[in-house]
Amino acid sequence: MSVNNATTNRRGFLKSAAKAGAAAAPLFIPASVLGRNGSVPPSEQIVVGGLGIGRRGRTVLSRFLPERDVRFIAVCDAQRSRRREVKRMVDAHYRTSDCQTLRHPDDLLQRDDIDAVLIATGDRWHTLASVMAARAGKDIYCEKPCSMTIEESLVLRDVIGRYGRIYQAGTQRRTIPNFQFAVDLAHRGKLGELHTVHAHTLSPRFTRKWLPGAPLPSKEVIDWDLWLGPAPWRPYNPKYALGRWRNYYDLHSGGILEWGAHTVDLCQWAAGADQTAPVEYRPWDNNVTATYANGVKLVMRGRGAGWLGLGTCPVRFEGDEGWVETGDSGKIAVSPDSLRSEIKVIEMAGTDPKNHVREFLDCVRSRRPCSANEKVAAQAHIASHAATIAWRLDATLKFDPAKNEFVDHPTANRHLSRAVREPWRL
Amino acid sequence: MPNSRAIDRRNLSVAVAVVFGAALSHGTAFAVDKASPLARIKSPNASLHDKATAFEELALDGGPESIAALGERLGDPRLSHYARYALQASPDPAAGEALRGALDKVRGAQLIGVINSLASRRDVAAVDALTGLCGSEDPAVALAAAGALAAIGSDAALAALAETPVEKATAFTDALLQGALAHEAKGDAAKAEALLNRLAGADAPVHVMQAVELALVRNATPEKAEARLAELLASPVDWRFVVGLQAAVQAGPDRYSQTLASAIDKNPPGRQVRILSVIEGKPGTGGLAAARAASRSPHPEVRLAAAAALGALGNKSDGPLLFRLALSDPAAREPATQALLRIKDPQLDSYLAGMLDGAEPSKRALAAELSGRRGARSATPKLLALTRGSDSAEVRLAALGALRRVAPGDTLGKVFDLVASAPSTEEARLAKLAAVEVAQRVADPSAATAAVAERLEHWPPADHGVLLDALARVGDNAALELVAQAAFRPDRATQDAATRVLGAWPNGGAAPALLRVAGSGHAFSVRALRGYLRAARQYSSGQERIAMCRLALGVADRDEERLLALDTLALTPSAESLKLATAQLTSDVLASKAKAVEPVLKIAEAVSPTNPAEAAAAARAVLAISDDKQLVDRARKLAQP
Repeated sequence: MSVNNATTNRRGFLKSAAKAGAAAAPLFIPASVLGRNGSVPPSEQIVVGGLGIGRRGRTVLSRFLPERDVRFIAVCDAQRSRRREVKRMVDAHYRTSDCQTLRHPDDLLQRDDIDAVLIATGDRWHTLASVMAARAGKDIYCEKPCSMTIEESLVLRDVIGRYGRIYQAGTQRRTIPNFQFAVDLAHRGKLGELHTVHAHTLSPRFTRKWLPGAPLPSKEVIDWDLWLGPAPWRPYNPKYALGRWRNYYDLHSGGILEWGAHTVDLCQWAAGADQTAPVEYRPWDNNVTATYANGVKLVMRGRGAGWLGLGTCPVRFEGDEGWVETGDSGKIAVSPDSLRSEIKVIEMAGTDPKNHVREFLDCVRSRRPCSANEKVAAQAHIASHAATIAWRLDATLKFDPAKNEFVDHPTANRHLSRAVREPWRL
Repeated sequence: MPNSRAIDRRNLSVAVAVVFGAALSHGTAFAVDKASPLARIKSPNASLHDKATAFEELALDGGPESIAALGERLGDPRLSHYARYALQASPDPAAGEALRGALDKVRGAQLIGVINSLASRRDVAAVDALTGLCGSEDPAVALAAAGALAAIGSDAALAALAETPVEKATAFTDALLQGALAHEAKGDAAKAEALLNRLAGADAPVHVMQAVELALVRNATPEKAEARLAELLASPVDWRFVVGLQAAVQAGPDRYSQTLASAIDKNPPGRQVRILSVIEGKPGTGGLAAARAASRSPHPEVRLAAAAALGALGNKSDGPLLFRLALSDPAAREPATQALLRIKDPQLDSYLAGMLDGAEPSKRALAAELSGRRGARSATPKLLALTRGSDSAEVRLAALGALRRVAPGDTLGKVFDLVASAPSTEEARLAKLAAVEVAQRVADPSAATAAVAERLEHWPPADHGVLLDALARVGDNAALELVAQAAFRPDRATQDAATRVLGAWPNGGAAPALLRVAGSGHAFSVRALRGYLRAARQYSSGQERIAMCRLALGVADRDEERLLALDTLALTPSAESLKLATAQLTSDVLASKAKAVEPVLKIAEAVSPTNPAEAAAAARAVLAISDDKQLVDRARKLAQP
């Protein structure tokens, strides 16, 4: 086929090609050679759909839409108001009325013309939606935290790998310059031998309470069973659907994961531990200190605990010759002063997913793994989950990163998984 | 993807909602019952919430005595999931027996749930039963059973999967793939290949065939894998070609660069572009030679892809080609620039430094930009010279932008001088940005602070802002003290800049200076007090924060800041903070007392469990002044003995 066939989109052609038996599927051309100002023919566009797009999702979507090689065509959400809001946003961008609104993820994932999905549901849905998308042959950009349990982290990693899909966890600080700089400083040995990495995390406290039940609106307004998805059933209350689901044990992966998905991930990277996790977790106050097999400490600690005030989501890496700390302000603090000469100009805030989205799209084309791919995301989440479990049990725990289970602690191992509500299946 | 809708999830959800709704209508208690978890799940009087939390507690510490009761609830649509919550987590073998025992007792969604929990437990004793369920007439049950066998991954489970009839291979795609990867993980490539071939022979969707092909390449011997890869890269079927690319990626950086290079000339331009994008990740010499050859392609898109590959693989010798490309075509400028930025060879910086001496302004400007973006500090002297000596505004602007990125801290004085001598507004703006960034890089903070102090005496007040911003980047105590002193200089412009910088100081060190300004009748005392309270919120905690709020309340002239102090106080609930906050409700100073009620109540509610008398006193103070129904209700709860 011609790669410049402007009369069809990529998936549409793929479908007809597949039916024909042996015809050619279209080829993506890397964005770097498309030209900044040239239009991208439909056959070269990456067709994207959205699952569960709320406030954060719309921020990420706003970085997808301007990319010339993206066409966003459908949104799926259990809530009508959110479906409508995203449709308004997308249609206004394209000046059409074409964005399809769907309630059920199956309906979106069964669309052969969709190449990739943006998943920005609540935590409870992240793994399930991702594995459903991978099994449907979609590439995935998924907001964090990406899993509710250690088991989910592993299933996510395995299913994405099984299907060879491209996966980008929404941990955009991996592609933001000040954080990259700090990690690079550690990797280049400028801090000496690394001995401690610090990750800002939120309070791991949680509640098992339920909000009072409220009259359930029509399924068109909100499909409550679908909204809950794999989570245990609880009565409807509109506050959950308005975003107040955090800190509920069944719905939220927890305060350590909330920021740790970013900051623990960065610490893992800095410590050269992307393929493993700490082997011991010791809780204190609302914090946890973990230790890697090589003795490096990973300190997960909250606000007011000695951070320099460089913005949200700070990380700090300490070696025997110096330290670096940075956060979402983009500002960087270093010691000793001689390291100040290393500091580069930073022009991007920590919450902006622009680079991360572009990298994802480039990887969809090249089939190369993203920087926040399923393997590194799984390990950072496993470390954060293990810390959360240690804090909940108020016990120092040993962990085996090869087996992904706690050592000689059956009670802790009970936290490794949670049953998924039927009929959903990981 | 599996058609999970086949078991009619939507209708099920209606039924579940109806059942739960009925339970709720009988009155849901939201306080956790203190009875034992087992008693709560058995109790007909326990609310659904109490039962739910009981199941979750049993998941974490339920003993053998709970297993039977849990097993009995596996068929109950209301409670099956909760029961599995506990059984799935239990290390007791009896939990597995209970789940297995339910396989022939429960139906539909509950059966799928039980199968999934057995999968999660890797229950090898369930293999025979699951094998039988693979033949279930309910396709969703069969699918779950096959998935469970793959998850269990024992030899027997995988052997059962290997017996999957061809007509079911497509339906069991995920399980067969997972099974094959389990064999792969065990190093048994032959068995992996056998399972994969079950799928290869089926009428599976393209994305499944891609996954199968990828796994087949991974499991082949090195010779066969290379041959298979070459075959894929030459395939007329594009999805097979794409699999070839991804297989090359998955093989890591050290393999297949020559195979990829050999495939370039055998493919049309569109495919050449994609091959080059994979070659980028292959540092072998074959890839570099192929990229250089492709840079001479008659097809523009191939040349650009080659440029990108040269960025990843190339060295100084590729600089001239890429530099020319960047200037030759507007569409090529960004890809070529990116390539020049990616080349790691430090010798490229020398080449670019040479270009700074050239005659053509466009080349000097590009060389300056690239030197800056590459972080070539050695270019600083030439860049400084260009900012002062070039007669091309384009070159001067590019040089200033580059200095911002690379000039070392010991050039701060020279960069300040560029601010003072800038011939245009834009150059002054860029010079100021550069000065602030350079200040961050100073290795000798005292020298930098001295350089600023000197200029504060001689520069016009309108330009003091950049000096003080630079001090914020220097950031040590001497720099802070100089900014604090500047806040009390006589001219308003300096006071303005200094208080702005103090208010945004990147740590709590500026708090004393801010309080001094706030309490001195200063023109910017309100700003300083708000900055002080920001420091209290962000950089302090506990007693220190309460003390800061007390001081802030002491100097505040307006209700806005008093209320801000109370909001800050509410972040640290304690008997002391409650006393301080409550005092504001009865003082003559605060006029907007109604707005102070919320933080007072917030603290009172937080400390009520440990200080009920103090909380009640605060609540009574609230009741004396508030007529807001919700606030009054909250206060009454606290005021009750």
